[in-house]
Amino acid sequence: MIKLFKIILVITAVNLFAGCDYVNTPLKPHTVVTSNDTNKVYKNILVEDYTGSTCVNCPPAATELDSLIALYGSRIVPMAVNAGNFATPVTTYTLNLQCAVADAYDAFFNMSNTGNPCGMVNRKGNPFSSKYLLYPNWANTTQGIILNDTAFIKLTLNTTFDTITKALTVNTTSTFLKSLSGTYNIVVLLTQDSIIGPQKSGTQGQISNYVHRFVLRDAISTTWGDALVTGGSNNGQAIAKTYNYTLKYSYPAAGTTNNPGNKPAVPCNFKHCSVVAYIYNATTNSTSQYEVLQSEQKKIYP
Amino acid sequence: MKKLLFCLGLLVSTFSYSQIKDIVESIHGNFQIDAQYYNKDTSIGAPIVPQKVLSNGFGNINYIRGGFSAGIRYESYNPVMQGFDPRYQGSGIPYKYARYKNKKLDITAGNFYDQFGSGMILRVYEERGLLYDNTMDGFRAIYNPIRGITLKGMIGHQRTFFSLSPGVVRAGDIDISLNELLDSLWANKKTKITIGGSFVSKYQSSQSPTLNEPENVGCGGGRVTVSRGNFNIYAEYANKINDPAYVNKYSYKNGQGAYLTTSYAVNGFSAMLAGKYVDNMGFRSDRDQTLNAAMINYMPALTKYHTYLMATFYPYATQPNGEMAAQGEVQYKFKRGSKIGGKYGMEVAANASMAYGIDSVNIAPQNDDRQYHYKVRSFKPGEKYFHDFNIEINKKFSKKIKGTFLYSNQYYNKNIIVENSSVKEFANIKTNIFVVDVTYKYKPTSSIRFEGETMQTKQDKGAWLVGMVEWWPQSNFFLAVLDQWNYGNADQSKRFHYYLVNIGFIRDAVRITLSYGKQRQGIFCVGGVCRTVPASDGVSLTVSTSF
Repeated sequence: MIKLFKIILVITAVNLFAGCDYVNTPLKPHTVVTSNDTNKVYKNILVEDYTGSTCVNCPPAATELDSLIALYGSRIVPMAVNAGNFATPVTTYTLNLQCAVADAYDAFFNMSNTGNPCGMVNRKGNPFSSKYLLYPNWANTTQGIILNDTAFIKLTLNTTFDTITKALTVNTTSTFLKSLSGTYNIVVLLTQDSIIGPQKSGTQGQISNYVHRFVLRDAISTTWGDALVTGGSNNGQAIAKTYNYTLKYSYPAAGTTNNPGNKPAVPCNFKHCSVVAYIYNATTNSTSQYEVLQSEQKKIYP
Repeated sequence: MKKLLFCLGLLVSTFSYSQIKDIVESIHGNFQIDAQYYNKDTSIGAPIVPQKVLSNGFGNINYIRGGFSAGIRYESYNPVMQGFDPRYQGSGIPYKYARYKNKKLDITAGNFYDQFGSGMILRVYEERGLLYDNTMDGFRAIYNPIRGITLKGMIGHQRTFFSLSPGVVRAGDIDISLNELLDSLWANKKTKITIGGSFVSKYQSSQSPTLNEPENVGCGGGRVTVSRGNFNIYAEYANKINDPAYVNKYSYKNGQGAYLTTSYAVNGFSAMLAGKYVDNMGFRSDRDQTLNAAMINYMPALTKYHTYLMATFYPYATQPNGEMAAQGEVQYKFKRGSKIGGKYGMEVAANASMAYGIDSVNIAPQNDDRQYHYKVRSFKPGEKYFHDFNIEINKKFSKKIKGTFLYSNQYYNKNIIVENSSVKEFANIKTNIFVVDVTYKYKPTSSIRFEGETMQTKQDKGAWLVGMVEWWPQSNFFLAVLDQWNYGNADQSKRFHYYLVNIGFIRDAVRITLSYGKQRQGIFCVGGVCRTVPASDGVSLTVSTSF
């Protein structure tokens, strides 16, 4: 009997020591790596933050997005998608940052239905449900792309904007740096930065002058974009596309799905607007379907 | 070679058959399909469902032959019904197992469910109605080396929807019945003592660019049960090392939990008292998961399990980041023929439960090298989260009429429980709930039940009134009509009626129910992530059977 107890004690002790990692220094040293290679094409990272002004836990996710931009600069293409129940204006949170394209992405990728705050990083993840990422995971996935992924497509954006007529023309050129099989689409969107309005916070209550950043306002192309190639691409193949769009006075436009009652919309300050374009794998049944291969953003009024 | 293998297989199967042909063999299982057709109803906020019809379905099949058993469960979500986690998408066989059991050894390959002690360290289980399933996929062995000792060991990954959690869980448990083990000395003692100990460790690789995350996290604890006659006491303590995770805001502070429950019962009388202390005891096999995914342990709320709609309107769930809770209950049965009991007797149960936060204070980031984020100031209750003081009376008035009467006074801290927010945005909800439930059994197989409920409150959505009539013309068929009326809503345009008509047919193991009506909206928050359970309006059908 005593022998048996001894054996059990030894096994338990081994388990205790083998099964635990005590961490004395939780924080890793902060390192920033800068590349001076201006000719190299880098793969940018589209980080989508699915949020809402009544989502109490969402401000930390916006802070995380700011941290990624501070760390990786223009490699990050940010986009805040206000959609779902927490983005629906209510009595004391009247700011309406919804739009049809945001609703479509939110519903298709099951973001707010799964739980806010959340997002996607280059829409990576297979199975489909693993595209959903809580914001603390954005940094891991972003770092993985920075360290391991290669850019297969170069995307350049040129915009012209008439401040009187609000006419916006977007010229995109997509150059394949490798032969790829499958279908690839380009999507062009409009975002607006620094919209001031109320935001609910779990630690501060209502923040009345919260700065809502990188807010997706409308689709300049269609929601799911236009095909660049459908049967594969050749190395060096370049495809140019032009999009004409007129900025609205405010978003969401009165009478649209997101503003059926013509509620007060948010004026569009074109000085804070950017064009965001991304190219994604649109090959049906591909394990990386919907994954973003390249993205860019450009301010329309630099 | 193939011929040789075929002959070998035939020989083995013939031999096996001759060895076990007398052993009992059975196949059993169960199936259930739930489907709902969704109407557009903007008045109550029911969203448009493009597919119109959503469904959840599953089927279990188990084969048993002597000590051997094997089984599978097929699940299908096309797509999953509203209110459930949308990551349940598609179809598959997420549960399959083979098990062999004899007197000494019980071994399982594949999926299994289990629990150590109260579940504070490990509890893998499923709750079909909530689509909660954290089954382990791996191996488990249970061994009884000598009488009175049970050893358990397991290793595997937990289910997360249709895939597996990235963390591998290794767990061991020992349970010792001292009375059985020391049978020569203790066999006839009135006092029965059982002790136990568990250790669970998870491994998950870390790719964090900013944190040195522990890849191996261990949680261990011990427990003791002492019973003597009608008295029983159970105590458990658990400790977990640094486990930064999304739900604890990546705190490196050790976690600990203690649970104590004691009960006493004699003929017609019983009493129970329980207490719980929890500090940073969320434990998941994926540090980045939240809501109900990849949970290794489970800490049930110390509250009464109500069945009436209004009494469960504001449900409480254990706050794993910090909670002190207590519950007490006294039940007494007034005998038949007594002054209060009357001709048929009467049962009275009084229950009180309350939950508080722990007394903690945040640590300023510049002083928080260890990334604890907070420290516990004292072993005193902190902010009040919940209470429920209730009394329930069950009384039979005649051979045909019986009734249940419930009063419950509840307190609900919506900011903490729903919003997970320390900001006092919402007033704490104080409710008084009254329930009258009377059944008239006019024939041996026929009855009609009337249920009336009201919840009186000035906070949140205001007062509600509920009425239900449930008619069983035969023992295998029922018709129920229910209405929940939010007549006290401060916004007069939202004083909705949520009506429901329910028809059910039951024969042997087959149950078919068809219902039409509206369901109110709710918000479900766990560990810093919130999901809206949308309102719905439509027809739903449930078909289930077992064999």
